[in-house]
Amino acid sequence: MEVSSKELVFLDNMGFDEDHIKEINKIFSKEAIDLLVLEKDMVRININYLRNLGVSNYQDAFLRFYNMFLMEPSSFEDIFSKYDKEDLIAKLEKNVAIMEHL
Amino acid sequence: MAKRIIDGTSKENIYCLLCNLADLDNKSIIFSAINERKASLENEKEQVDNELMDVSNKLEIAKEQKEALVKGPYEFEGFVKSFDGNKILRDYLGVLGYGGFLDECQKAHNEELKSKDNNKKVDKDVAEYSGKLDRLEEHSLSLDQEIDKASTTYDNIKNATEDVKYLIDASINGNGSFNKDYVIGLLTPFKELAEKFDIVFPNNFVEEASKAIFFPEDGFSSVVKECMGGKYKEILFTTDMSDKIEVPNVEPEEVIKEVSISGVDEESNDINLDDIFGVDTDEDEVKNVTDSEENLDIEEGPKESEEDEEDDDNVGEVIVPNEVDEEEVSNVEEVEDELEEAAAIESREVTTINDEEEPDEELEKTEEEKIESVVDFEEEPEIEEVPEEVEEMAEKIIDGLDNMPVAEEEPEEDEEKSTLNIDMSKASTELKKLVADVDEKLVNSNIENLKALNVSEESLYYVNGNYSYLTDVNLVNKLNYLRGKGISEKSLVDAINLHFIDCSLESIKEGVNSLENSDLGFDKQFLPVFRYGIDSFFKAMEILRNNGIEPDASEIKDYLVIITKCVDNIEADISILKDYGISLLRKNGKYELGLFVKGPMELLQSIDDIIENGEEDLLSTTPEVLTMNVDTIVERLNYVKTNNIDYKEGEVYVDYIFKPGLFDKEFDNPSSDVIVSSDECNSALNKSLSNDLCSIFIDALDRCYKEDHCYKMVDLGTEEKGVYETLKNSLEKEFEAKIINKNTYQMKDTYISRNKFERNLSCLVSLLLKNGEDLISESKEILTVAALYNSRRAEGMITIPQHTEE
Repeated sequence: MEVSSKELVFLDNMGFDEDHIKEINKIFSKEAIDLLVLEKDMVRININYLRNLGVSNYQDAFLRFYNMFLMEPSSFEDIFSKYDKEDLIAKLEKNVAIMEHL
Repeated sequence: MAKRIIDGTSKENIYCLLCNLADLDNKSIIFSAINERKASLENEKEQVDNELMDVSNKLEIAKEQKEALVKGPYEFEGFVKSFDGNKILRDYLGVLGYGGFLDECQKAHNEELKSKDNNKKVDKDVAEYSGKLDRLEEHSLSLDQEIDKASTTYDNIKNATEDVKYLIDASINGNGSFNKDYVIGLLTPFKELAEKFDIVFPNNFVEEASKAIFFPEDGFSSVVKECMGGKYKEILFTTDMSDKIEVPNVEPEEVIKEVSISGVDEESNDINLDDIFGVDTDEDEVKNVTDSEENLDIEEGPKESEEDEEDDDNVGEVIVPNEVDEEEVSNVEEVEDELEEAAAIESREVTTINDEEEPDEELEKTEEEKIESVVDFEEEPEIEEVPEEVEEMAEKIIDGLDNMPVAEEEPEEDEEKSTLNIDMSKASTELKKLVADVDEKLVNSNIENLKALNVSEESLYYVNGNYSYLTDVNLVNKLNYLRGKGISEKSLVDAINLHFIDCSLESIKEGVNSLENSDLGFDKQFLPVFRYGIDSFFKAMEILRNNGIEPDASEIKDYLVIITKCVDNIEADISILKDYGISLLRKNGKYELGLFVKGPMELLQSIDDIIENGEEDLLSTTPEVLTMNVDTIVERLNYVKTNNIDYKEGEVYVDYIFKPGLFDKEFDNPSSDVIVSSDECNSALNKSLSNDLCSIFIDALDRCYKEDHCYKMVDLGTEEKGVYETLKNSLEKEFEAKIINKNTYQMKDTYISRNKFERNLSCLVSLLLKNGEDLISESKEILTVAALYNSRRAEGMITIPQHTEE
């Protein structure tokens, strides 16, 4: 899905639909969006990791904790890789708020 | 301990060993050995410490005895002398017939205490215990060092294990090109380390394992697939045995002992998140979850099946032969093997496969690509139907292994470019200029290293000012330095692709040293910081700590990039938060450091907007709201208020206030009035007042905010302060402004940020008094502008405060 916001074009083909992009624009401050754009490559890698892991609501995770996606990719992976995959996915899908406590 | 020698006669066994070293089977013998070593050291340390305690106590007693021997007689003498000094008492004792009693007592006591035997024994005890204590302390210290060393070794080997895993993955999936030196450099330390633990790898291990990486189709792929599919094959130890030893049970959970906690399902080492969050986790429950974090357990440990356990039993019997130097033999075998491999590969390329085994179709398809990616052909080999050339190619493969990564570029038409192993037509003008100024050898060497790392193509062409990876004279040193600091190959690839390390080697070293000397230590999470400068990170931390904000390791990790990149906002933002009395702590006890992404002027506006919407409480209950797009929150609040919809449950705001998607769903995509910009609002204010003085005051405040970035009250002199106080008081007295919250004035239905009003007023007083204006006579205009400037209200929504006397 093509994203509509010009600044957030880096989320193109990352599974974010137009509603997600609208939501990002309404939730994130302009300064946060600028930072995400600046670090877009790192953000993309981390989003892709979560996506490939099978976390279906990774967009929600991003909306809630964008700051965590600004993390060195291998350190980001370490947060999740130490848990049982299926259990982790189920818990994240149930309540994405647990992410910052992992 | 008896040595265990791994059988190197079967390739499959070496492949198993390689998988084992990558910990694909969760049974890494190296991890097991290190853990065993660490556990043994810790056990020994415990014993030594106990003994140390015992000896220390004994020494203490011996010293007390010694002291008593030295001091005791003289103390007694003093006691006796006190009688001598007391004539009445002495006489009294004499009358009673005890005149010689004291002398006798002293004599007997001295004799006993001063006896040589006693002295000797106690001296001996003290000397013996002191010596023993020194030795034990020394031993304890050395054990500490050894434990530290073992921990460091473990960390290093963990990183190396990751690298081997990464290497195997890339090899199997055909998405990497590796330099032979790199592969050998990675595998050799395992062999050397193993020997320290009395595990002897086959002499041909490094060679065979390297070949497996380069030619995975030769049986290695299937071993990896089986291994990853859970079919673990035991590593065979040599059967040429002279002794039997027991292979220690692999208990990988010990590997992660420091993070493994209670609540572990003993049969499965998976994390049981139910233990942490409960079955019916909801967001509120999560608030207290930090306390439970220690109860997380980790999956890294093996899931040992019964079958595995049986296998373990079988491994128990291993024998230790005398070490045989098989080097010559293995070299011959190596050449033979490579010849065979080359021949086999060529025959597959050219004609059909005559091998007995049917090769994997997928592997067959990518064969050619893989060979090209790893072998440096000097020219296109013409090998069809020419058996001699097959042999020639095999020699090239053997020679080529010394110079491996070379997916050779097609020769460029331009001769000048042909000497670089990169398509310079894709290079920017800046890169071409940079490349032209340095030695081609450096550029080619860097290209080779970058390609060996498998970095992105963009990174090869990356330029930042005068920096490019291709022309970085210290690129290899940087990479090796970071490898030495435990950074894995995967993290290095990210560091290159994401441009974390496009800075000088010196600055990286300084950064690493600073972190190592701090209580934080250095690890891969800090790599992005190099881009912004490690000084920025330390400055941010210093400002936070100076203001009593002590984020924990997890908070630092979560907000590392934000606090480093936005370091210049932090001091001013904290000052603003203090002025408004807003805490950075969220309900769950975590610091909301994401707020620093906003500069002071933006933060100020966000806070004032919320206060002027009558929602100051939101700032104290939910400071994270300030990291968000406050405009849209205010719009949603305006909508629910206008439509008399409840948006709070007690003190808690309903979720849809913060979640626009939920809000739209709840109210079917309502169209709410868009909050106006500050400029529009001020222009509307000017229009509503239609007063020249107000216009001047608005201009003055514009300068104050836009040019001077004034986010605090202006320091006023004594006279200015007097005028300021008079005007401020008149707002409450004459305009009936009531303070309804810490930072909120209410004038009829209008909420005004008290801090904003005072800030504006101080600016106006300071500016206008300098121009000799009579501010008291213009108080209505001044107060109106100070109160309503930047109020984000649209035309028609501005209520001009009325003087109560009018």
